[in-house]
Amino acid sequence: MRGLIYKDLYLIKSKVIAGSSSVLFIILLMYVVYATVGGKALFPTEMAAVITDLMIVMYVGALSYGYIIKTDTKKEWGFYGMALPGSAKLIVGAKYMTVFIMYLISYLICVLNDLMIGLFFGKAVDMSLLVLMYMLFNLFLNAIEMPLAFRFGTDKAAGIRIFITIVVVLIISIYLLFGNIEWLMAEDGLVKIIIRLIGDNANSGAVSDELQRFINRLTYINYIEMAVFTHLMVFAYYISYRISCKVFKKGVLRDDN
Amino acid sequence: MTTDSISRKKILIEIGVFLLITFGLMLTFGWKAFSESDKENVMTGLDMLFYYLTTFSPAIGCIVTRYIFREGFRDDILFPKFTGNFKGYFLSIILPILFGILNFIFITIALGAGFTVKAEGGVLEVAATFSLYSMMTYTAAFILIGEELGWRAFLYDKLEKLTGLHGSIIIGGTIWGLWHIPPLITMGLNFGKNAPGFPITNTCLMCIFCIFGGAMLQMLRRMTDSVIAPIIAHAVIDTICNPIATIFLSQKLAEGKNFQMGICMIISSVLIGMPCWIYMVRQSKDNSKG
Repeated sequence: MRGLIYKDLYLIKSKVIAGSSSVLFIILLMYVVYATVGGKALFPTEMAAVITDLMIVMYVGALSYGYIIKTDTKKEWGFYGMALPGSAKLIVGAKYMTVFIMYLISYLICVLNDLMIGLFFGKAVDMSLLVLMYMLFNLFLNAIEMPLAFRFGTDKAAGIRIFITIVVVLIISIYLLFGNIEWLMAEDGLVKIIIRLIGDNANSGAVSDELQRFINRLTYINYIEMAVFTHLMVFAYYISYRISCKVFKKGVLRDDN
Repeated sequence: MTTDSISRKKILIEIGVFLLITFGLMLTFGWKAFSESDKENVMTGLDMLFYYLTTFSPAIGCIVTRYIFREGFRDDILFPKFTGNFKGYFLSIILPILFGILNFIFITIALGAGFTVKAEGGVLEVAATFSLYSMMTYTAAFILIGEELGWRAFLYDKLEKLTGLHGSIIIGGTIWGLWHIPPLITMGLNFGKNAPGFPITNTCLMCIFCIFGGAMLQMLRRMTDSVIAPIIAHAVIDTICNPIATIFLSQKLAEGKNFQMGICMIISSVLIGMPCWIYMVRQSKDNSKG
C-alpha cells in the first residue's frame, strides 16, 4: 500500500504545492500584519487563528481530495489494480489513506499556525477541537462522494454531489421557512450573535465575551450530540471505504470508463 | 571486533543520540512548558511552543536519529495495519478503558468514596463530560504521536535488540518515567506535591507506572506491528480514563489525596500491564520455537 500512496502523492504533488503555496503566501502576509500589530490587533487571537486554520484545511485538505480522486481513473489501471495481490482493497485503501494523510498534514499545519499566532499575539491559542470538527465534516462529505466516484466515475459523482447539495439546501430552506428557528433568529440566537460580532469587531473583548456566552449556552445534550456526530463521521469514513471496495470492480467494468 | 559487537555498539550510540535529544529538549523547556497554571499565570504563545517542543521531543529524537544513521522509516511502523490485526486495535480501546475502571474502583475503595455522581447536572452532565473528552481523544492522539514515535517506535525496539524483552520493558519504562521529571516536579503530575519524599518518590513511582503502562502499549505495538495502536491506547488513557475519577469523586474528598490516587493508578497499571508482559513472553517463546 505504501507504494500506492507514494504514487498518489507524487501525482498530485505539483498541484497541491501550487494550491497550498498560494494560501500559505496569504497566511505569511497575515503573519507580517500580526507581527507588526501584535497585541493591538483589531480582532481576538482566536478569530485570527480560526480564519487561517479554516483556509488551511480547505486548501491543503479538501482541495487535495479533488486531485487524489481524479488520479488514475482509467480502465486499464483498474484492471492492473485488480490483478495486484491485494486487489481492490489495496487500490481503494490507498486512496482513502492518501486523503486522510492530506487532512492530517493540514491539521499539522493548523497546529503550527496556532503556535505562530500565539507567538505574535503573546497568548496561547488552541483551536484544535474546532479544526478537527471542520476536518471531520469535510472527510464525511468526501466519504459520501468516494464510493460514487469509484462506481460511476468522478464526473458523475460530482454531478450526484451537486444534486444531493441542492436537495439538502431545499430541505434546509423549507425548514427555515416553516420550522422552529428560535435558536437561530431569537435575541440570543446564532444569527444575532454573528451580527453583534461583526458590528462590534473593533472590540476584541466583546467578541470573546460573546463567543464565551455562546459556548455557555450549549446544553449537555448539545455536547453529547456533537460527540455522537464526531464519532459517526469517523465511522462513516470506514463504512465508505468498505462500500468503495465492494463497488470498485463494477466501476472498472462500467461502459463509459 | 565481531559483526555482532559492532551492531550492538551502533545501537548503543543510536540510543545515546536519541536520549540526548529527547532529554535535552525536555530538561531545557519542560520546566516552563509544564509550569503550574492558575488564573494569574496565563499560558503565553512561547509556553505553547515549549509545550509542543517537549511533548514532541521523543518524536524529534526518533526522526533525527533515524536520519543521522540513515535508517528512515523502512520498518513500516507508521502505517496502520488493520487487516488481520483487529484484536490489537480492539484491545487498544478496551485495555485503557479497563484500566480506567480499575483505577476508579481502587480510588473508591481507598478513599471510601462510594459511587457518587459529583456533577450538579447528574448523569446527563457526566455523559456530556465524557462526550467532550471522547472528542478530545482525536486531538490527544495527534499530540501523543510525539511520545509514541519515540518510545514505542524507536527506544523499545532498540533496547529489545540489546537487552531482550524484559530489559526493554524495564529500562524503557524507567527512561520513559524519568522523562516526566519536569512535570512531576513543577505540576506534581499524577502524585501531587504533597507526596512523602517528594520528588524522589514521585519519580520512582512514575517509573513503575511507566514500566507496566509501557508493557501494555508495547504489547499493542507488537500485536499490530504498528505504532498507531499504542497511540490510540495512550490517547484513550489520557482523555477518557483519567477524568473518570475527577467526574465521580467529590472535590472535597479528593483534595490533597493525589498521592493515594496515584498509588491506585499504579496498582491498576500493574494489573493491566502484567498480563500483557506475560503474553509478550509467551509470544516470544512461541516465535523462537517456530
